[in-house]
Amino acid sequence: MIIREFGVRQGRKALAAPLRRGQQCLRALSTETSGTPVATADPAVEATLQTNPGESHSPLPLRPDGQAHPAPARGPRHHQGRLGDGPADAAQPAQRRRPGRAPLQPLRRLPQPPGPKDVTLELLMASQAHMGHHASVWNPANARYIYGIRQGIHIISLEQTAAHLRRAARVVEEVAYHGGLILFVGTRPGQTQIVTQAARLAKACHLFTKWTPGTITNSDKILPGIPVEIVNEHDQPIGGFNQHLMDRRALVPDLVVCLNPLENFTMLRECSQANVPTIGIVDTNTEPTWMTYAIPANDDSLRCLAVIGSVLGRAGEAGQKRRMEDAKNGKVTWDTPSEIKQFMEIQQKRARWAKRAADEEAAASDTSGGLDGKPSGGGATKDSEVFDESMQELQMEVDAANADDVSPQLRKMARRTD
Amino acid sequence: MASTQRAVSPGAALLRSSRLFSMPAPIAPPPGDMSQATKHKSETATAAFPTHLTVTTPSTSRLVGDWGFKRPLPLKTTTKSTFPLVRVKKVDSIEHVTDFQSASDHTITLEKFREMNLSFSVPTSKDRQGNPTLISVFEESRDFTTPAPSKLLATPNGSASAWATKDDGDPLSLRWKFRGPWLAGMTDGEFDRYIAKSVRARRSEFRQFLRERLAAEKTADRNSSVSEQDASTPTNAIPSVTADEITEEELLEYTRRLRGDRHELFNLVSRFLDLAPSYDLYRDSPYASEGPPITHPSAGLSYLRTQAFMENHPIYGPQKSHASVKARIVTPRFGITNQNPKIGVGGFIANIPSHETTFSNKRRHALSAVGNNNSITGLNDFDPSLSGGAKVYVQVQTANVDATGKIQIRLLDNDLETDVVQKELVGECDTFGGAVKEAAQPKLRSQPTGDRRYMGKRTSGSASNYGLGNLGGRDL
Repeated sequence: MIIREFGVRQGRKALAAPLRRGQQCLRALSTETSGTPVATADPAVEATLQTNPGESHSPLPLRPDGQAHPAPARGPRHHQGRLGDGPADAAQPAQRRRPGRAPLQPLRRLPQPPGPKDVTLELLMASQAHMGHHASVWNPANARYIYGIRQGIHIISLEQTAAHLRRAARVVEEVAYHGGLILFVGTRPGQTQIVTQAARLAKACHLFTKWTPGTITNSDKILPGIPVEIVNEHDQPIGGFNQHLMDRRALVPDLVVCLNPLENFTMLRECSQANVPTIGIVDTNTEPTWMTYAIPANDDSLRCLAVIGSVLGRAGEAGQKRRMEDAKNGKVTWDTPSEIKQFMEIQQKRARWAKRAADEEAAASDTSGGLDGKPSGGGATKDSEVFDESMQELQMEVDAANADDVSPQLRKMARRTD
Repeated sequence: MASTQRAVSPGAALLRSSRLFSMPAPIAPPPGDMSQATKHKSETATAAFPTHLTVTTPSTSRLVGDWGFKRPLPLKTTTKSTFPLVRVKKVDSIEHVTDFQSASDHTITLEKFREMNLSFSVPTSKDRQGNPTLISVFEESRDFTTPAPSKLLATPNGSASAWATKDDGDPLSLRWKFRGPWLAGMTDGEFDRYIAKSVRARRSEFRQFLRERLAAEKTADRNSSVSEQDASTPTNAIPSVTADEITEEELLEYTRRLRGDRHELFNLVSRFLDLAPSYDLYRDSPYASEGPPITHPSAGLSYLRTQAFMENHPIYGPQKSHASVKARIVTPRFGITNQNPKIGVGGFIANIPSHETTFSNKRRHALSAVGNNNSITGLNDFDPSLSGGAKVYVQVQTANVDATGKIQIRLLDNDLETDVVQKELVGECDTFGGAVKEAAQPKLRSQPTGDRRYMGKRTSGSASNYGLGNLGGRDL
């Protein structure tokens, strides 16, 4: 009964030629419907599909003048631990390989994390990105991401997922390029490795435990006295800002990537209050307006989260790489924050005053005859104690830079490790 | 065709060929037994047949709970079984959990059933239990559901004699699927509901059916009378009676006549409603006594037409019968209730053969299988000394599906030789090795007794003649 109809049912598909290679590449690069794979369309399902090729091309997160949409670099760097340190980095037993067969890797920790270029519909479908929640618990705001209902669950359109994921990857890359502070958050069990891997790739921060409410809005109480440092464009720490760092407030990230928005509503709310852009994975039961850039995907499958996390991590890695290359060539991709500029101006003024005072004193001692013949002491020496050596170097740099009408390059970064 | 078939987006084409989308919808659960309502019923008992697809996953994915569904399945419940088999009832529920169960029960049962190499045959009536001729359910004379329309509906030109002989050897009654229900298996409420919903609305249609039926009868009568009077008149020259010519009075009279003829009335009604055959009328139908099966009579468990092949043994050569199957005595004869013992064969419950067999020995407290008139240990009484429960090797004959979708396995009488051969194959006894050892030892020449000398030369060939020794009281 079954065998007899097999040819009728499956023959067309079984005998059809496989898709050509070029079309796969095309699919990887665009989300436009190519029209090549032909299947019998269900009009009811088709009606729910709202793929508009024009809108799937996401707008760039950059303004035309090249300025990053998120605020430029904002904070000093914390000293705790190395990037990506976490329990997930503990040595894992080497994977045993069966001879003659590629090992099937569970995708929780990807050996070769896919980047934005590797995002294909096939990859997304294989990682269960299309499975939404039970149809009765949906949030109607996600209707534009939903392709239809199957097996009682909403099916998220793979094209939408791919397009939004690529857009989010561009956001992460540009924020990293402009020296922003990125924070990866995934607080469900099993997301630790995903979050730490993404943070390690993107030289970002990670959070896999509970977000302490008020970490942004009440940071003076929650995060007092966390050490920060000031780095230059090559990410090398610069001294001489100890006095400034004494009265700095805790840092605020420039971009937050959240893998489970439902549990981190407080964090997303604080981010929106602090004007911090957020990227979040939106399942069919999540409110998409909580985050700035939504990625419609399945937020329950660790496999899907691993793919999305590694894509965003790779994007951040690419942005950091570009930034470092530009820094080598003398191009700095961010502006010095205004407080630091102000601090430096004050310091420069003080240095000039001290120098003038020292000169005047030296002149006075010269006119008095210079009995002991030693260089000056007294007030000038006292004044010069204000500066340390690095400040004097900085002074010279600042003078040189002022001559070129380019502001000095300082950066502050923060890192919060748990 | 062209309007329904059009290009879809690449993602949609991918999704449509995905495994999630190719999961079939669950079929209806087995019909409940009404008498079970007042009895103890186990919630965890294995259903008569599976309703959901069984899903499996590679071991590496199982270790992280990845079964290809929305979320990883909990490791505590899915990593303990030997085989990764799961049936998913809901991919996601409103409680945000995936509703799943282990599917080992039906899947392993299917595997065990396939090991038995059984074929499905059309059930035979109970009075022919002895050694019936087995007909495969895949025979073309049996495996059909839709007869030609001319056979099912009354035709104006149909002859009355053809109708009268319908009940004997009617090929229509050999079908396994009918549009109407099997009345004998319906409860009172079900019958009332069927009458109210499906039958009552078709009253005028039935009257028209009777009209056509009566017109056909009249035409046949006219033909026969004309041909008796004048044989030269061709039959097709006589105008046939049409249904419109039947008056109300004639129809009323015909209805009254039918009410007296219960047999003919049921014949017409069952033909009109396409009822499953009744045992009173269609004794030839294999499904008249127990009802038609709810699936195809093979249930998709086996596609074999026959098990007519011969098994070969590396030492003993071709075997007369198939290998015995080790079965479990689930219920002994004299247990809590005195009933026929139940045998569990490959995950299915089977009854012992109804005719006189080794199983019918009702001696209580049988000592052992060998030497006590072939009685089976643990068959009549529960024996707590047997570790793992009482087991018996059985010969399986055939299987069929009953009206509730259960698999009925028919057993044959035990064959001790076949049992011993199978036991030796699985390492439960060592007949051949023992015989070789015995043959290797120097034999003491025994004095021929006087009786033996006078018994004559005729000796039947046996294992002991070939130096294989005595095998459990019987010659091999």
